[in-house]
Amino acid sequence: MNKKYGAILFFILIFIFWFVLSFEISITIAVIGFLVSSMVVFFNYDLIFNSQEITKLTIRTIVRFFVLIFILVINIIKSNIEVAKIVLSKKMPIDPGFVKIKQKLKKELNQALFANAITLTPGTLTVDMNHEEIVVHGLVKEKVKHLEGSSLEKAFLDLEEKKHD
Amino acid sequence: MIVVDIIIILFLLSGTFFFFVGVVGLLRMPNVFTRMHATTKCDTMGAGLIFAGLIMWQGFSFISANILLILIFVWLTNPTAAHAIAKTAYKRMEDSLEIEDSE
Repeated sequence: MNKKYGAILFFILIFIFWFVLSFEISITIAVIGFLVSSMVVFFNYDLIFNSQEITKLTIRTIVRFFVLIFILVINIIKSNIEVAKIVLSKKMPIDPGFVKIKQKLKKELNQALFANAITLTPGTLTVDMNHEEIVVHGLVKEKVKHLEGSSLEKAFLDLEEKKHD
Repeated sequence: MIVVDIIIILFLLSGTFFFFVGVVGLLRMPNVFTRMHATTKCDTMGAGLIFAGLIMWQGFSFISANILLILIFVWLTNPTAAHAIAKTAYKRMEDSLEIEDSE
C-alpha cells in the first residue's frame, strides 16, 4: 500500500520533469510523457522506496531542507578550495586513509542522502555503509574525524527529528 | 551590462580552473582513492560554476530552469558513480586495508 503511494508520487514527479524538459504543452507531448513515465515507474517498481521513508512535508522541514542545501554548498566550496590547494602545492601534504564514523540517522533515505553529501564534499569519499557505521576515505584523515558533530551532520539530524511536527 | 559580463567570464574561468585542478590531481595522486578525490570532486565545483555562469548569461527564463535541473542531476549522479567505483575498489582489497575508528 505504501509502495503504491510512493509509486504515484514518483510518477507525478517525473511527469512534471518531462513537461519542464519538453518546451511546450500539447496533447501529443502529454500522451508520450504519460506513456514514458508510467513505463519508467513500472520497470523501476522494486527500486521505489516506501512513502514512510519520506520526511513529511511541512513548512519547517522545507526550511530545514534549504538550510541543509545552503550548508552543503558552503562546505563544498570551502573544501574544494582546500583540495585545490593540496593538489597544486609542491609537496602535496596528504595523509590518506579510511575512517569509520557512527551512523546516527535512522531512515534509509536520509542515510543514503548523507552518504551522497559526504561524497559530494571534496576530500571525503564514502566507500561503504550499513545501519551502524559509515566507512569514509579521506584525503586528509583529520578532515573525516571532524565530520562527526559537524554542522552538516546536525542539519541532517534536524531534518529527521520528529517531535516538532 | 559590462559588469555582468565580467562576472560571467569570471565564473566560467574559475569553473575551467577547477577542471584543470581535477586533471592535475588525477596525474599527481598516488593511488585509486586519492585520484577519485581529485577528479570527481573538482567536477562538482567546475560544473557548478560553469552552469551558474550560463544561468546568469541566460537570465531568468525557461532555459535557465533547465540548466538548473541539469546541475541538480549532475550533483545527484556524480557522487553515486564515485561511490560505485570506490566501493568496487574497496571490496577488492578489503583485507589489506587499515580502517581507523573516529575516536
